[in-house]
Amino acid sequence: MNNQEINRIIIVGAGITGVTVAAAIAKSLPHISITLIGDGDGHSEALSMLPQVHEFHRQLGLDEKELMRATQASFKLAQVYQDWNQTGHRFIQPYGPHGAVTEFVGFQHFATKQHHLGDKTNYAEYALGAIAAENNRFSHPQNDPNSILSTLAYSLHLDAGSYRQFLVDRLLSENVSFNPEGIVDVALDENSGFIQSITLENGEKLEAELFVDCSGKDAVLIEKTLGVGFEDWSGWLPANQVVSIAINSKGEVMPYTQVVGQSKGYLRHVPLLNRIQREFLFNSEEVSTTEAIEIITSGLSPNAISEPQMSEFHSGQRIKQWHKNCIAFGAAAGEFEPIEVSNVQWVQMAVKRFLNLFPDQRCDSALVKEYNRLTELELQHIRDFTLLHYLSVNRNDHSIWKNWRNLDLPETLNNKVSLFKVHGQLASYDEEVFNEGHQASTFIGLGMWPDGHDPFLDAFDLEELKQRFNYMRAAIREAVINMPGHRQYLENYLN
Amino acid sequence: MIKKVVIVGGGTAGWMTAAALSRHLPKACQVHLIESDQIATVGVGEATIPAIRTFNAGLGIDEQEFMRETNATFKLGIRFQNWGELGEDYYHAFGFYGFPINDVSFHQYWMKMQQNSGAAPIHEYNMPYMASVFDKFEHKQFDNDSIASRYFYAFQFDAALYAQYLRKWSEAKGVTRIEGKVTEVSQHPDTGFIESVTLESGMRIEGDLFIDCSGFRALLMNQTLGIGYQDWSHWLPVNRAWAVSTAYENKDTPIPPYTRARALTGGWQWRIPLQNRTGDGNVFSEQFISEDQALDQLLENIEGKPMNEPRLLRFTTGKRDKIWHKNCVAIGLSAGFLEPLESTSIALIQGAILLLIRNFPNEDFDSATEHEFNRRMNIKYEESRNFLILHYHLTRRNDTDFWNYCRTMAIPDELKHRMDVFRHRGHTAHKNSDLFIEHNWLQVLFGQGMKPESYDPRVDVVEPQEVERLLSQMNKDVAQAAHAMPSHLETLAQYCAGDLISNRLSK
Repeated sequence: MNNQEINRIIIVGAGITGVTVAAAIAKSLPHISITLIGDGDGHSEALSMLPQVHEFHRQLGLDEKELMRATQASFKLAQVYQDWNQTGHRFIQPYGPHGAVTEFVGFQHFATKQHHLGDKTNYAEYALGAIAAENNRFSHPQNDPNSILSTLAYSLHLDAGSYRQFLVDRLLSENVSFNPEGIVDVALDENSGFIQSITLENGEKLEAELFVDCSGKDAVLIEKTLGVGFEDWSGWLPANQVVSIAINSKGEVMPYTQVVGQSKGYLRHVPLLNRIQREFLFNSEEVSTTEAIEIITSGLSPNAISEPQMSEFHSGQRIKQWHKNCIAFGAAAGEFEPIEVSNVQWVQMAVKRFLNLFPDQRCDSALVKEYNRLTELELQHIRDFTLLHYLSVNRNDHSIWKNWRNLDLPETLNNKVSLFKVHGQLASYDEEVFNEGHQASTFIGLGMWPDGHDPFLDAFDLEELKQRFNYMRAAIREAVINMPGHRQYLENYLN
Repeated sequence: MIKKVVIVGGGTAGWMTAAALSRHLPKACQVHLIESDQIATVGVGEATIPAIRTFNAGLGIDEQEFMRETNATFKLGIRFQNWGELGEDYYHAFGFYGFPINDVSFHQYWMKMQQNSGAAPIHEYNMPYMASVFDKFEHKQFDNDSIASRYFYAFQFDAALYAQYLRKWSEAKGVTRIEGKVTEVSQHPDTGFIESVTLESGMRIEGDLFIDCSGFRALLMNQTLGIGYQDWSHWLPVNRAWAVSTAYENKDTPIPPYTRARALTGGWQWRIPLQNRTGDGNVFSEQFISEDQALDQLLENIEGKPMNEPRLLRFTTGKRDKIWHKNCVAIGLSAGFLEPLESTSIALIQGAILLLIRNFPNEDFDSATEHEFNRRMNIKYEESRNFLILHYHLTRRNDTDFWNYCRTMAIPDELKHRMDVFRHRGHTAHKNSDLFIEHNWLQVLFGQGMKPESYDPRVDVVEPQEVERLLSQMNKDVAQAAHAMPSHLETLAQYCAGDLISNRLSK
């Protein structure tokens, strides 16, 4: 081992972000002593994760059942968009595939061809995950490729507070400590500009070789101390405030996250075992706090809901997520709406990449550059995919929606949109978060049908294809009838 | 919908394109290929990388028949001699160094063990590397969990015979071959789109989409559409090649399952073993040694009798500014030429065909399609180029002006970044490039003697005794698996050989 390895890390911020980073580092590099500074935030939040969450849990050696029991978790097969483009519009975005490829021709081409021939079959009918979600059913995927159940893919809904606590209990060892004091001073090395130490309110001075900024939008190290700027994306993504409440619920558990378009923003429902977390996202210049609370509580009995909580966010990215011996995760590194990717999901993806490029005390500039390059690519895809959801919205009544009508799109998204429009192909880039089938089904769900289909599809007999996919739809319907209800499945699985 | 595709030029590029399009296009679309018996094809690409199997499988080609008809042999990698330094020898094999441990790459553990107790040389953990050393080959399904089946293979074949094989195949699928030389190209007066080509005979052939497979001349792309060429010879200075076919010395001469690339004074020499002969050539930079000197070197170094007059090829390494322009797509040498060191020619042809199929235009030739094709082809060419530059630049040789130039030349920023990332602690900068991925880069970096300063700290989490045990087990398994394989010659004889190989065995 070289004698410049990192032995001490200070993480500023002990919320879900800081704990996620600490847990991942402590699991991979248990000899490093880690101190988390500050409080865990008491915010009540429900996380809607991507299927990538399983890989993170596997690497941390976490058992799904135990984790789900501890976090009021439910399964997530899909995301459902309701009243999105306009009132009455609805589509389901499952994690598993739609239909099947025909040799190398993606399924979207068959659906597009049929669509232009006047076939009104809902795209969702070709995806088991979508139909199961719609019927509140769940099963784990099966490995047998001959079973239609092998086409399922799923993720989890988790309560953020208890998920944080679960990670603390399971993963933080004697080398990890918490210090709730606030920071009063940060000292830099005069020559290198590296952070040397922080001083706490109680006068204690703590030194480390690596400093991790998980302080949220305050960005106390990366911005306030090191002066790394922030690239603003609010021109593309103007929502900047969220109000949330918890709704008690003992009934059916939706195996999906629901997003509901409103005239001045949108609602999100994330189902946990015994509650639904409801959020309303909007722009604070357009909607007052009072109005937002009215919208989020409308139609609900005051007895069944918690006190509304407000929080702000600012879409954009830190110009460098890693600078000198300081690396930022979570809101300190970048923020975006949770519509498709939750911030915690992104922290998991980012910390995995950081561990693959873990530095020594010198924080070699090649590693820093590589980490920032990859992170920027990934964030760009998250931004583009989020923004894509707004391009089809057809509400002219309020500025938050009008804003999107004539935007100059980022070049990468523009390429994707214009290529898909021609005949349903996907421009593909490094570090994509979503696979092509998922992207294609988003375009189609949003009503952005391609003008044509892949000409190579025409080499296949259309009647045979129709028969094959009709058979698949029937198999899907039958499989769903035989699947248990989501709540029943959860109760059996977790008890 | 496109109703007629016209391919100008046969050869490997033309017939691979014709075969793939005729296999997948709807019947309503015709494919015509114009070639002239009077124009020789270049056909330097006699060695391939494993991706070729996906291409052949996509066509539904029978591997045994194809190998028999093209005098093909199996290829497990490339043997590099005298690259890092005179006297050094390593293989870039189509496989991996060991297994990862706890999600951390094998080479990270090896770097630590090597510092302390001295592990075996890294290539002794690489099965196809060791099989190559022993001239062994076994035809197996890839299995990522078994060290004995965790390798890929490619072929070495006669490119002219491969083109002939695909011609037969394509014509059976309905491709129309037209004999003749193109003398005139007409364009639409307003759009500049190519409307037709006229042959020497006066025959006029119209089309909706034109594929330029005319080789270095780039008859359509350059001569008609005026698309220029990016010269990369400051990074890849070789610009000439002498090529010759050589007979095996006798029937005991081994047929290695690899291509050999021996570095010389002003370039390098290839030796590609086929069933019936070897293909040999000296690729060199005429700025550093003369054509005559290079020819002498070639003839001195071949291991049998030359079977034909050596042919000289002249080229400039680089890439066409745009590979798709208007209704014309360049595939093969008309799109660019790197050099044969890592057998990228056929791989880039294949890459272009697959991208064309994925982004096949409609009659409107929407610019989004062209843009995406060009963007991704540029990435493929640049990635391949950077990988090739690495071989020249990462040398310690200072015995000739050529190597001094390569060692000290300025390299592309992206390559420098990759080397910097590796130098620090053995990481490979991640890319989704489909031609060369982590295991390819690692073998050349280690093979040419680059030593990272330290290793991934996660390695220290595993007890050293445990690492030692795992490494020595992998080492043993690799040796055993390699030894257990039949010889390459035996596999060829049993699987796909004609009389030549049978005669060799019945001595």
